[in-house]
Amino acid sequence: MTRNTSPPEQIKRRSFLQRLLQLVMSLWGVGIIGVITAYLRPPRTLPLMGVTDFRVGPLDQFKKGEARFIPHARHPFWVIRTERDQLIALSAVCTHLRCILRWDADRGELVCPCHGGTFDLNGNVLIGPPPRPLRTFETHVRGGVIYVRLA
Amino acid sequence: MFGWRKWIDWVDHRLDRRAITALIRGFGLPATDRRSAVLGMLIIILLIMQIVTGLLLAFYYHPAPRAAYASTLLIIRDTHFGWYIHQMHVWGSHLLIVLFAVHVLGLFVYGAYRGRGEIVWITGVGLVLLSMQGALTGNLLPWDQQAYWSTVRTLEIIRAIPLWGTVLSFLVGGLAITPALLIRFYVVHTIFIPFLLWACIYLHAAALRRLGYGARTDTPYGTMPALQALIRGLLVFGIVLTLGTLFPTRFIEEADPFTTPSDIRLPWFLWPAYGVLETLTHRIGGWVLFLVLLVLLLFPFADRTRQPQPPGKSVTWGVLGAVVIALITFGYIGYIRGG
Repeated sequence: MTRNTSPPEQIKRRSFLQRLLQLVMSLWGVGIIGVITAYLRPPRTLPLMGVTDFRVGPLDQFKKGEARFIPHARHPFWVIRTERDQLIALSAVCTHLRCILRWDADRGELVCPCHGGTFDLNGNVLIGPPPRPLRTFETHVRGGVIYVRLA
Repeated sequence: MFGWRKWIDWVDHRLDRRAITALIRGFGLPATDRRSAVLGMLIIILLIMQIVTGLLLAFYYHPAPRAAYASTLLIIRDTHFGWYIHQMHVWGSHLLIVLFAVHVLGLFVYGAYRGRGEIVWITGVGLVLLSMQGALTGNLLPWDQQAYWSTVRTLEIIRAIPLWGTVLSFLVGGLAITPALLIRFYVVHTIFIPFLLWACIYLHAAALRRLGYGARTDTPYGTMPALQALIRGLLVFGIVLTLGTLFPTRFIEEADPFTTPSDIRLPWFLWPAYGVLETLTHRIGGWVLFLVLLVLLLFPFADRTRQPQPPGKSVTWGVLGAVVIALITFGYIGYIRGG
């Protein structure tokens, strides 16, 4: 403001107005950025698009002792029907480095091909480096069809 | 102020700031008087708002039949402020059509189409038509019953217009509503129309400049224009927000090609065209609309005036009166015939 040669009170008013303008513009900008940030934060329902129950298939086509891999884009998982007729859905993603687990039918365990991490049917770590147990999903049968709740 | 000068100088030493301001000025509509300057600035602000809101909507939108509905529902219901952004985009589009139309009326009243003003006029009318096409293609995207069935009816009108219908049906891959049409509408809506709109504005401004309009825009931009732009921006923002809050567009159940709802209406700007088709049958009315479009686009070529000057008072008021009466009459007929 040194380049201005008009009287001092004139400078004051001009700079005051300029600051006021900048303040209003900044507040407006902050508001808009806030709204946009809030909008862009993904809602929890985003990956599922309102569908929470994943249809696995008819129960009668699922033998006891069978395990099926479901290549779901966000939550790939294994569905296992045990010999005791229990339905289990376990995340297929190793908690160590996100490798996809394999089903070892002989041992009845999920084994990671990367570093040999092994999980039991409750998702607990048996052997290896994984730091956390596997995520489990709720299963239920409606009209003879197996559904897995992913939300 | 906040050490801005230092930053501006830093950039200026590496990148000629004047080259950028010259580019922006090139885009600016040359302001010959206050009224057209205000209108031009409102249009630019509104266009920028449409781009920002449209870009935000594109973050969640999926252009595939079932996903389109689900993703629109997600935007409206599950995101923060998503319904606001959606309503702003919808109402912004209506307002944009109105402002472009007022602008073209202004071109006529000021006689900007005369004396080598053909390109000014054609790009001006092109802007109105483009903004309408933008609203029409955007209308289908939410993929609810309203979107689907009003598009079915819109395509019926477009089909009735000779040549235009043929060209358009080629561009969008047939006039049946299929997944292919949805994605073409999406591409036209999000890429072609914004690009063509800015190109039209640039040509429009360049042509006006060539004719000697806007000689006074070389004065540097100071605080006052910025303040005016801010106030106008806030005004447009407020109007669009208020309209979107008080009169939100309906979002109803998902599109179902086998159930036609009874209360589907055409977009308001098609009511006059629909009124013409209803009064004169689709065959004759289609040709009438075609001729109207042709005359609307090409009449400046018939004008022999050498200088851009307002046409005589009686001509101005005669033509304006006829246009407004025709729009209101046929618009009303179109509306009561279920348009």
